[in-house]
Amino acid sequence: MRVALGMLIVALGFTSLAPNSWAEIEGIQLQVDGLSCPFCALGLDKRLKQRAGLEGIQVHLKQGVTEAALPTGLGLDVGKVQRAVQEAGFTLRGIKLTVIGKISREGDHMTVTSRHDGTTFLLFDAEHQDTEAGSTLSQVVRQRLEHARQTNRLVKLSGSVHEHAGLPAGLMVETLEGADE
Amino acid sequence: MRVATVVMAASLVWAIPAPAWAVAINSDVGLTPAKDQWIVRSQLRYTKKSDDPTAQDRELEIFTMPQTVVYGLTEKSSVILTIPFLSKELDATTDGIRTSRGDAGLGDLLLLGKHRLYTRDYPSATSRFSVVAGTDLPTGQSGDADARGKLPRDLQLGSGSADPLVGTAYTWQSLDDEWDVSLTYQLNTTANKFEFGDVLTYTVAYQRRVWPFNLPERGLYAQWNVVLEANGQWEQQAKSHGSRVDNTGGHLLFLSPGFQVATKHFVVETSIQLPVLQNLNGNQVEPDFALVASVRATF
Repeated sequence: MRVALGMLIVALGFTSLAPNSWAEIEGIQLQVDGLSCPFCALGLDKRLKQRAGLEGIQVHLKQGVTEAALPTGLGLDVGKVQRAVQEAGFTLRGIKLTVIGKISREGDHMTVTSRHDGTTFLLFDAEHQDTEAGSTLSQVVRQRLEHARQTNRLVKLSGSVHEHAGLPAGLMVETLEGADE
Repeated sequence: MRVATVVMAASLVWAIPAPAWAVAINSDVGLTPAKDQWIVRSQLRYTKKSDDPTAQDRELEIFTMPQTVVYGLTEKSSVILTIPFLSKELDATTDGIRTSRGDAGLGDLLLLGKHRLYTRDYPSATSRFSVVAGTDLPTGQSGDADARGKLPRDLQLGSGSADPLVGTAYTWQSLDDEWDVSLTYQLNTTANKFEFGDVLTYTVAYQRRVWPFNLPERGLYAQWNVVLEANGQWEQQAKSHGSRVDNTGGHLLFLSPGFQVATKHFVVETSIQLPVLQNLNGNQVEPDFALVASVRATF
């Protein structure tokens, strides 16, 4: 009994040192155009739940932003979200989200795999033109992600998501935490 | 008794919950749901007409309770069904005796299809254009009679004919204000050798948010709007046995101020229609005003 309790205490200690101290947040922000009255929101709420499986829908009318969350184990299907917004009668301008996961390399691309549900995103950044040919990331970002990959640590990435036909969705990296610790 | 029966039947419809979309109060063609979304509007309208150019001193009171159900087939197409309950009562003096005649019950159903042809969405604003087409169905009685014989055409609940209708609706909506413009044309057909005149209706509506004055940065909020509409109707003269009927047809234009409370789940609104242009043929009784109150909900 004392050994088991001791092992539990040690396990909890390791847990508190790692970036796992981040809250399990993978918040999704949808930038939806055409939302211009209070009960525009109900149709959008309904379609996002039924079509895309999202929950915790919160519409912020002035910002034109809708926040949502994924149920445990459900991956983000960008196509379904786009379709849900379309069926509600609005236009999806963009999706922003925060992903906590581990970095991998697939050919020339760096990827992140969400620890929430195993969804993989190809990684880009806005300054990728300042790179060697064929790369989608700037030198600085690539080096940070490579370090995180080699040390097998969790990172927290935020950015805009876009769909790729036949490929994992792309994530345009805007913020990156945990890669340099 | 008949009026009481109509009111009771209509109050049962009021018990059905429903959701809504903020558009012109005195028009049905602007209602637009999302795919698989329902919108229901329950409306009560009271019209008083008493400006009689003849010695009969006629007064006409009309209670209408149109119940409108809208269903989104797709994000662009919807069907609209309006079920009207009516009560009409006409008081007139004939040979020095004041009499009253009237009727109450179900009127002619209106069934429309609506398709959105154009959409341009902006952050917190939208511009949309749609077309509508459909018909009214002769479900209202057109041959009712009382102790004095068959009721006049204007007191009947229905036209007796199926009458096709086409129209357009445009909406510009932002968080601050909204414009709605709609135009419909109803082609009335013949029943029992009588044909009501074709009707062209047009509405231009503007609404402005008055509360909250400053929008909260986050979340949803109930919204209070003031509304001003111009509702016009031009009606062709009726025909009986192929000949034009005097004392029918003309042009009416109403200015209709109103007020609206819109939330995520429902809209409550009210309006008064005041005639500003009355150009009626012959000796028709002219409208004094109309009062409108309605609730819309969605689910």
